[in-house]
Amino acid sequence: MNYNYVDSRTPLKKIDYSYSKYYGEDFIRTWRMSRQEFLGRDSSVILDVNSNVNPPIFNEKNFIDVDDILDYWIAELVANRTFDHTQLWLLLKRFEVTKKIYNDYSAMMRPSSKENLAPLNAFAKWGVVLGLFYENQSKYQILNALIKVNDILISHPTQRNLLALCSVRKEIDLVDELIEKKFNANHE
Amino acid sequence: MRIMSNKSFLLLCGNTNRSKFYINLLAQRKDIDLELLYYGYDPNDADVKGSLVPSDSTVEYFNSIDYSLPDLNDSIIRLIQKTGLECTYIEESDVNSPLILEIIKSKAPNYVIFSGYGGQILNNEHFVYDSFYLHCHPGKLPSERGSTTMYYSILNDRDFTVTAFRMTSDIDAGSVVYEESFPRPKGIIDIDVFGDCGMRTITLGKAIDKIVQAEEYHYLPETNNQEYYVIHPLLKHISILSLIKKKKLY
Repeated sequence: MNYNYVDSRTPLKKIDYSYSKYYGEDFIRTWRMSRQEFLGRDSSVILDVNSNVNPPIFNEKNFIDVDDILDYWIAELVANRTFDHTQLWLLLKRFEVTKKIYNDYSAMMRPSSKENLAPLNAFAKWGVVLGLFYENQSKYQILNALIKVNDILISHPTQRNLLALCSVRKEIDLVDELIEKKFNANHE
Repeated sequence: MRIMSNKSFLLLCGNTNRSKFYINLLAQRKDIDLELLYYGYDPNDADVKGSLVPSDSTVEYFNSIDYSLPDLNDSIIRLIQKTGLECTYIEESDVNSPLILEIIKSKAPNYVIFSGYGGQILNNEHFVYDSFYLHCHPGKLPSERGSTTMYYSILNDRDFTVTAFRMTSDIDAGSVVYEESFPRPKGIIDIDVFGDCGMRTITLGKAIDKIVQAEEYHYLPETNNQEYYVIHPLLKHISILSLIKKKKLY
């Protein structure tokens, strides 16, 4: 069987996850192969993070560049600093609905224009945020969004970059931990 | 002899497996005033049989909680005919159409039990009349909002919960009528069809009991809810496979 959640038309076209079929353990194998194929020989990746990033200043009318928002969240999460998660949850909600990341956002995490789709690099950065946020919060909604953003990234293997590799590598590690927790620990 | 309740119910249903489950339940209730409004009617559907058969572990699970799964092989139209329930059939498939709203208004039931087509959302027009809309949501409200919460319940090591509530124009936000918990299965069960529909049906039956006896709950879910978006197939597989004892997955 093939991993069916890869589509080169993403992110313009949304991948449909509803009423997905159950294939048993084979599905887990195909998921893993899809990720390993994307990683190639880059099985270990390290991201250099600037931990001193100014927080984005939203007011009633402005839009902030998505990179500035994501860089700030990455810095705060890597440094394990406390910050307000409201907008991060809001972006997760917007992403789950649209499966898209845009170039800029208002305080309510709405883009200035729906034509303003961000490049894949911003999707990869969003994946890095989600991986770190899941480690911080342990909520499955976050891991769910991470796997979906990575489906978009692996749909474009020619645009692999360090951020995308980091996002996919982190997903594999987090899913492996979950499998270990749910299977081996549960059934000893 | 059972006394007829003074509450009236209208099942607003489409051609779905859930509707078949609900009809099977409601046909057995001789204590309520009940009618059906079947929308999206296509006479050609009458002879289209289902082919869904529950797995042994699914049957076993429901037997363990004293519920017999209905036979889904009859077409919904044949099923309605067999039960002898009074039913209005309309071809209109838009749940928000003026025709459907007009019929509901004219029948003016105390409760509309909603079992519509997937993805349809009732607009505000439904909520301006005196009828309450009863819906069974597969999850505990307000903490488990979304359509695939049963898989998240497994991942979170929680029992399943179904909440019967009065719908409002805000999704999954009305006052709770009744809530029922179900144990986690010990084997792989078909959650999407039999698990979901079966647990919703059991909860619906108990919610109707509460309404008939005027013992329904009346609390509003709090606002600090959690939204669970459609589960990724990978997490779905991990949740299902975690129900069975496996030392090594891959």
